[in-house]
Amino acid sequence: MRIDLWLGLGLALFLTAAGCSKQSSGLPKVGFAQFTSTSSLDQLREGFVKGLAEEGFVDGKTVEIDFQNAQSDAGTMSLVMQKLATSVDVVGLCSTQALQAAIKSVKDKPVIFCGVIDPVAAGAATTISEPKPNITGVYNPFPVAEGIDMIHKFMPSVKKIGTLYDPSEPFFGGMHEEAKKACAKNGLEFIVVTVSSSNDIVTGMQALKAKGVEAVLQLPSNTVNQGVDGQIKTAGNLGLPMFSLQPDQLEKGIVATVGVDLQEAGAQAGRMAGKVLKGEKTTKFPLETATLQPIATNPAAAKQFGITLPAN
Amino acid sequence: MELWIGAITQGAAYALLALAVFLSFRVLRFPDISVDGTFTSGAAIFGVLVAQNLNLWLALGVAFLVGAVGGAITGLIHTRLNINDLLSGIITMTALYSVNLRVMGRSNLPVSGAELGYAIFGIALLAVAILWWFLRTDYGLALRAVGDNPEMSAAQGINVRNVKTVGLSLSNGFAALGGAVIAQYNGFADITMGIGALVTGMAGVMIGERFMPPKSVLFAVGGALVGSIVFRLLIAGALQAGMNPIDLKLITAVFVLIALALPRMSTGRAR
Repeated sequence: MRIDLWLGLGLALFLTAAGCSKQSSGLPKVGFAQFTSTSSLDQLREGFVKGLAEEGFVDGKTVEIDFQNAQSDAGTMSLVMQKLATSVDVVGLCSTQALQAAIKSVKDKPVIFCGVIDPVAAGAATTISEPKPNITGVYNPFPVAEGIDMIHKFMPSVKKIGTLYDPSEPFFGGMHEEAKKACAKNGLEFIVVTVSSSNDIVTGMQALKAKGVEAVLQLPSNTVNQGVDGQIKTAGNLGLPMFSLQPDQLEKGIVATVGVDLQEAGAQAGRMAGKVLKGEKTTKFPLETATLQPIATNPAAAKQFGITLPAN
Repeated sequence: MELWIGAITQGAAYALLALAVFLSFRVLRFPDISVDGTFTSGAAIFGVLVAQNLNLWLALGVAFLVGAVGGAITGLIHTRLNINDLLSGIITMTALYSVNLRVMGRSNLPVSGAELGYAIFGIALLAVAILWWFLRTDYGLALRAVGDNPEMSAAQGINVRNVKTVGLSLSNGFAALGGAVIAQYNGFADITMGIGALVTGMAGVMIGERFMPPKSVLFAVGGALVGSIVFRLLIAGALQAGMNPIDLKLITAVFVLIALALPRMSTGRAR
């Protein structure tokens, strides 16, 4: 066995230990973990920090926040949670995979989640009213039916609505079934085109057009979000008006949105974490839904597609 | 402390993947990317079976078998249809993506049920022992010969096509078993978890070779276990170092580099 190599390993780990023997500041500690980097998850994180600040916990001044990002690696996600389980007072997180790792590794610290669509399917609760004792948070169901109604209202003659869909994403699957039902109720048809990466978006949009779709209600998807600018541009070229359930995309050229403000959802969870940090029990907080924002419109985009918006 | 124990346990679980890659990539000299698919298959089938309250060990066995079937398919595509090695793996991996989604019914599955805990070490050590034993049997020798020199092996009367298929099957069985153990350990199976499995496994194998030069079969096989554990320890080290989370992968890469290169630089000795 190579003694010198073992020495090298030892040194690398020693450097780590030296790097982390920072002075303890005596401030309360909050961890915040996400599975990967997407604009949605980043907004939730920013909101969480804001929510904590509203409760009097400002990062670096009255609280120390340990940000972690597993960079899409399931193994790293577990290690992150094991680290936070012993080093912080409250574990905050967004994304389903982070929540699942926390369920497994964080047993006796409070866990506050956000950015999770279905906490029951994720395994954090047996029913919505019965979460695990140390876990609570804010989940965002997406208002699919409201989205379909919104399009129907703005484009009364519409017959076919479509979306791009990546089957590999956790818990988004139920949404297009919901959309199909809502469409059927209004006598419309809902068409789903599968994409497997953000590279497929342009082709996917062309396929939607070829299938006779007249409006796109893009259901939330991390894959599609990565290429949303390209999608909106392609939609413009094809003359397909775009609608979405993510209000933050409005200014990019989406005609109208109805949905949850992710920053606000993160802040809701952040405030919860602040209260828990002050000594309240997680069991005092039932799971909350993120607050739905009213329909928001982008008049310039509407004009581009010849859609007349109702006065209010 | 829990972080380090966690990293070592995780390393033992990933060692199953490293053993799989060792068998295909090092022994058979076959760059088999189907592990990217079978790793997830193992996790998926295990998650589904455990959710149905099947016995934990039985579920692990089924996961191994499912992976073995996947590997056999790659082997058959390669040896019977004469399709390039890398491409056969890509075909299986691509097909398994849809199969895995079908098996799970959705892209992410919580995995609950009984804990494996320290039994993970037992599984990893058992896998090392089995592979050590297997590679020294007559059939194992044939497998090594096929990897070293297929023409010569054929001349010696070895059925190269069958031996390759069996080797790949065994390799993917280990990969799937690794996927199942990881899913159990992490608490979830996810459709993306197999992406980069081949590379992760290779990292384990090659780091292991630096720490335990493959002078004997035992060292070569054991190296995969040691390498995987070292790799996970370095990731844990990068996490513990507490810098901007965006830099995590960069720091991990730098740590691996330091661990491998520093002793050489200090002694100025060439290998």
